[in-house]
Amino acid sequence: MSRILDSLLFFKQDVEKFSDGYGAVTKEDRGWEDGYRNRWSYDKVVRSTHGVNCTGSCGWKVYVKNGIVTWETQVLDYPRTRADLPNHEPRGCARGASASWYLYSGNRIKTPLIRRRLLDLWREARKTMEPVEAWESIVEDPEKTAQYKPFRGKGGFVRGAWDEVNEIIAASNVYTVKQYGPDRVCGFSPIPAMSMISYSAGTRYLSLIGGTCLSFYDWYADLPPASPQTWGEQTDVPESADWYNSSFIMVWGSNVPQTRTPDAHYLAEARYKGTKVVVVTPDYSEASKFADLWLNPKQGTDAALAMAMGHVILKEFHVDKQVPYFRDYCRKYTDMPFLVRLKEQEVTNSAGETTTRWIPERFLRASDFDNKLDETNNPDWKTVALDEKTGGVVVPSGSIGFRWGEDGKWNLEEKTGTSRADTELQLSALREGGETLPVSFPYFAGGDEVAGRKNSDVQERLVPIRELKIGTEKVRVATVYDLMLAHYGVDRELGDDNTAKSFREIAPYTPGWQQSITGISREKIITVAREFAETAARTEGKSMVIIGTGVNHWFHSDMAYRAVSNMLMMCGCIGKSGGGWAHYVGQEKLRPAAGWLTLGFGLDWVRPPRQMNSTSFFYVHTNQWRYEKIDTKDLLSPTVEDGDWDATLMDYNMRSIRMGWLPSSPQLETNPLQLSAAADKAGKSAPDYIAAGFKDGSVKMAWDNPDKSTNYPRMMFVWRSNLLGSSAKGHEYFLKHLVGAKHGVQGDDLKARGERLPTDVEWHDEAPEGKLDLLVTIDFRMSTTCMYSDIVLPTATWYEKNDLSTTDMHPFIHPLTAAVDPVWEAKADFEIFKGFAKGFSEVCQGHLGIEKDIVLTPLMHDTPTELGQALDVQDWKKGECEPIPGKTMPSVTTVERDYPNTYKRFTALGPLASDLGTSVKGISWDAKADVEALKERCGVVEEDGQTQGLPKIETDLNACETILALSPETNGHVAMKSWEALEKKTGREHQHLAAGRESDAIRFEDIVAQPRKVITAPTWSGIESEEVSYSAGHTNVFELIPWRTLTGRQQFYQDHSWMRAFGEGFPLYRPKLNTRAIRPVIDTKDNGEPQLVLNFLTPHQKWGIHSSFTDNQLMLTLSRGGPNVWISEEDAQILKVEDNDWIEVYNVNGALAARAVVSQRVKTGTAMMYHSQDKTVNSPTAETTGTRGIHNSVCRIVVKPTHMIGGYAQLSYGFNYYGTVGANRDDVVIVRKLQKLDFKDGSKVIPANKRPETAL
Amino acid sequence: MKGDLVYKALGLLLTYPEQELVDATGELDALFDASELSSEHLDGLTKLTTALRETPLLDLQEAYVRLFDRSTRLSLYLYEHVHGESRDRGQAMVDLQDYYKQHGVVSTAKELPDYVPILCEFCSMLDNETARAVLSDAGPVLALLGTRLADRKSHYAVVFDALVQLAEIEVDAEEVAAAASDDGVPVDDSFEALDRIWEETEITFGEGDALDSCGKGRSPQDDLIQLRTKGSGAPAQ
Repeated sequence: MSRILDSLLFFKQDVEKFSDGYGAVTKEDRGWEDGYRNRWSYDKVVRSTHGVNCTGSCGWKVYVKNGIVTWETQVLDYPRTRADLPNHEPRGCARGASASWYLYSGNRIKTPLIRRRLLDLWREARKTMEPVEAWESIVEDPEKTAQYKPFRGKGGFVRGAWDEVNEIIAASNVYTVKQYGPDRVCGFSPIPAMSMISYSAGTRYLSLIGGTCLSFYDWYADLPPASPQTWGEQTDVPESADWYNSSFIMVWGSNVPQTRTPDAHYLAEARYKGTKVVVVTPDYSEASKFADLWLNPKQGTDAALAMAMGHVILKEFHVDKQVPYFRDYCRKYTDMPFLVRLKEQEVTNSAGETTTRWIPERFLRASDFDNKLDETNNPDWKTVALDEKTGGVVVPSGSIGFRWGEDGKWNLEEKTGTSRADTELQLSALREGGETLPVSFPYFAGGDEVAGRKNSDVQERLVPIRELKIGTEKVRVATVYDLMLAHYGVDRELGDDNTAKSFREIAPYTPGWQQSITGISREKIITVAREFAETAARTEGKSMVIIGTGVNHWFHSDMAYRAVSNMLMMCGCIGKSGGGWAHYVGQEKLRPAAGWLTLGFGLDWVRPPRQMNSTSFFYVHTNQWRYEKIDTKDLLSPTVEDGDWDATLMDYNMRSIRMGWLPSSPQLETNPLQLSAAADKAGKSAPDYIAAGFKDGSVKMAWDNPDKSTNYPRMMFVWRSNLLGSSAKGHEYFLKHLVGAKHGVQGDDLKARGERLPTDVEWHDEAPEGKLDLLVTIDFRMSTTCMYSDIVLPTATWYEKNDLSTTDMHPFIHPLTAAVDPVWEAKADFEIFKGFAKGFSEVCQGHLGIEKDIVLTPLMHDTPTELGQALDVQDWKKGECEPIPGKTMPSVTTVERDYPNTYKRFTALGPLASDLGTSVKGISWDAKADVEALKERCGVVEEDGQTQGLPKIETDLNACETILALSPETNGHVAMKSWEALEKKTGREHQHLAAGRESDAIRFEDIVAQPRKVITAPTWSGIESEEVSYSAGHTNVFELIPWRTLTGRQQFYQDHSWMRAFGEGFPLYRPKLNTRAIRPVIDTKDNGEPQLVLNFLTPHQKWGIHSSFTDNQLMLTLSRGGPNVWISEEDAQILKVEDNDWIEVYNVNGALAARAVVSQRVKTGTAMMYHSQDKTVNSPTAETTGTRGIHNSVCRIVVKPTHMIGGYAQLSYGFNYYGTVGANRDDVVIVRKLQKLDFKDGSKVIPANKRPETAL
Repeated sequence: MKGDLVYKALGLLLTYPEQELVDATGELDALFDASELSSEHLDGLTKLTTALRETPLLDLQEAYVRLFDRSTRLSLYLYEHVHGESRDRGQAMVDLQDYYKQHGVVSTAKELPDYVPILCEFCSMLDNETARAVLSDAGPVLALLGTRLADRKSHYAVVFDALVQLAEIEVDAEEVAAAASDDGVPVDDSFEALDRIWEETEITFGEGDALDSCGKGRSPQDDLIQLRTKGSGAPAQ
């Protein structure tokens, strides 16, 4: 209606006024006001949170009216922290507030969806065949698979009924298990901490049938390999409240306000308190605004920056002046006093002359001495040092050798191991008139012109040494402390011409040197380093580094991370409240780990589970190894010793898996269900049979021939994840080989390029495409992964299920609670997998019964097998040693699977929970009483059968209670038992840490009432207390519990032969990896527009729901509403690109089209595409490939050999603990203007960047 | 309470095609023949029911999923087009549920109240005048969906056209066409144009506009069934 008729023209309302005209009395119908009144009425309020990987774990009150969620508010009843410390609430952010509306969104998946072409085939086959035969008739017929696999990603779904899709899934699983082996069924789901029951539901199902659970933390490159390397710990960090206790904070490559929004207030509050904040980010990120000083180094040069700061700290606080606190700390808590053997190496120079040089070798061990220094248990694994007073060699307690095979001496007391004598370790061998030796250190920036002066790739420095007589042999040794000062190039007035005499001098690793690499002036570096160390010296360790993906996602991230943690360790900051290493990348802290492990991996029924490191898995099965561009020679140290080092990265991975270092999946070429019978027939135990078979070649690993049809995964579940969209680095390779869909791979494989092929795997000229017979994705929105799946199942959102959430940012355990029933046909993940278990149990009848399955397990961290090969690496395949399961090859276990009882086992807590107890991180305790208590909480199974009388796990609530009852963090009795178990190892009293809360048993209804603070447990190295905030390393420093490393201390030095071969004994600066992704496409795909090669960065964004969702309408409205790439003004000028123009980004891996955001924030030379913009929203096709690309389209993973080390104390495999990482920041792309805008959706193809002819 | 079954029949056509629906198409045809639908719409509906009968069921289902399950632009949930992912959506649904309740019915389906077939069934239980009023409120969205489906040359377009005709909804053809043409690349993507779409009406208190618009011209029903799109009339989508 027009305005003129709707409003009063000649009249006005007769209104009685009051309060000077501010109030008015009217007589109109005020019914409309009810709308506002009702708006604030509701039926119930439910506490829940959002299960995203953002570390928030923020409490929200969800208001429900008539069974509909109407709105939510932040909860304001978190337990307080303590006096003088701000509280954790209110938590939440704009993204969390808008994420919740996925509940009713048009993007929501409402019913099961199935690829119609597959359903056609299935229904046809089912007319005459039972389910398993029907499935076989489809997947074994190439004509039939060609009818559905190539159509993945092209729509074509119909709604399915739960019963029917469950039968298809069961049939595919049963057939795959029977025909190829259970490990050919695999599943990917990330970050259990954000909803641990949903995670566990899938892995419990997979583990019961023997399927492969794929890791995520390493695959996401959220795992900082430096943490296991240095501390033997996956990741342990302070809670955000501890920032407030800090006196000097460096925020390094972590965009706190943008990606840790609910916790950012602590940073602001710390500033009010007077804490100085230095921010290190190449771009002007949101975090920069918190800075007193903002450092913007060239991206990827963080290691150079940290090395230079380390140089300053060592020079001024360890050499020129010696801070007693620092020295004491380093002596007690780091490997600095431990002795390293020096080795004389022959080298031939360019003139053909042979000379020798000395290089650092491995740690000296008790076993190197004739009498093994009286250590009979694991002398190979006991490191030695010099005693300050006597000058003699001692074996300090606490090294890894004391952890296994004996009790009571695995601690950090200043005592010797077996003799229990007091000792004070000597940091330095430097003495008046003492011996020195020139020692050579690798230097990788040598190729770079550093301020006009080339630095040699080998740096020689004088090191104070000791000469020991061991038997008849003279062994030269040096302490880590002395070696490190030399490596950092610190001058100690030893008359060494090669060390820098001033900070200005341009020599590795001075502030002057870093200037030409990072672009940061040396004055700033010197100032920051001084203030960092001076603060730590005065406060005894209250300097902190908050660090994140900006540093961690690089190929050589461990170098930067170790260089940074060195700064913290040399200043005594680790383990001190307000100090330390605060790595926040991924919600990794699953606090009640012990209970979760039991539930999630079915440890109550069958041990061990099959766990696989995803990076290597995808490297192999998406065939990215076939397109490898990195020459291992470029990675090796210039001081590499003689040996068979010149192998391809794939070959390195093969060595690793056959020596039992990293896992592999599928494991063996033959179906493991058949191998057990073969072993019986041969009259051998499974381990003997497999070892003998490896040796004579009769048993092969599947990866020996990874492209053979029997040797790759056949069926994959993806849940709680957008694997193909968010995290599939090498997206186009995934599409080509794993999925078999239309793809945009531009490059040729090794053979086509005429390059060297791996020697340890069989090469097929034609690589398989479409390896997966079935891809099932469980989600609540139609993600990129769903688009390529065969079956898409609707899951419950965060307000429709019961679950648990924890984070590293706060110490509370938090519920997800079902505010409403799942809408439409959706079900909670727990119910979905329960349905699969039921389907499997029914469909397997007649195909699978009770079967014996042979499981290979790598040498696991926190188990005795972490003592693998102590001194040297021997490969049984080369005949260097015998294949010995659990020592020189994977462990071999025969387990019994009761397939028809899969459902019964899924829904009850199995007997092993009582019989074998619960364990975490190398300690175990009896759980009988806890299981009995659980029977009270959940009830017992009443029906006949093998589960009768066992605690029920029939609902997600039962599952929550199971985790809570079995974990020390949530059950005080368990906490006491777990500390008691650790006391046996350390010989020290620890129970006082949990004593006050012994009777606390946190139940689900408790956390629904209010988030509860967890109980201090040996799972973690920090404590929950009224005196200090949670701070990692606390129990190591104050309880003298060793770090789970070789020396038992924090390790500056990595002595494994692979570490040394790749030059990473000590951290150093390595230039960005040259990914060689530009040629030949930059020449062949030229479209005439100006082109620029830029470094492609994918930081986390402000407009997506953490790393998974960029299709939320509200968030899209606040950004560009579709894919966008940020570039600098300078680069935009060269490209003739204006803000909001369409651009193309491409390289040999693939291509994408996006809008350009031209911004002063961006550092020249980089293109930033914020992480995880799906191809589902406003995504045009790229010209180069004709396909829709995403940020992962232009990436390819490269695996790093040092991440494949295993069976070596802290460098041993653990699920999500160690392994290759999916780093992608080193990638480079070509950017240019897009010419045609083609959405390939039937709309017109138009010129991409047509501008008005005339200006307005 | 006796209403016009045609509304329910039209709603049925918008449900996921199952064999039961295909089997009932004869009955639907008869019902449409006996209705006040224009011959043009009758023809269109016959085409649709014929297609339902003659096309293999899985083809029908695939087409349905592609149209209605996979595209927010053609979502059959009215508030998707009004509130999108805004938090107003929950309250709007509650209000609509209450409105159904006021007329003595509660939904038994695992469906949201703003699902078009539910609204249609509801209308078939109302006297024609009220039914028309209810549908009129949903008019802009119904017309928009019809136009978008017609652009895609979908047989389903006629269902919305028929609803618009039966409810005697006055459609500003230009406005709807403009809204529908937002599909694909926006015609005008200037900041000003974007601002106009997202602009909310300023709320003031005291004398003046607020009194004018609050005091009259707004029936309680308007507030209950917030089906009108905001601002310029362009849907949020």
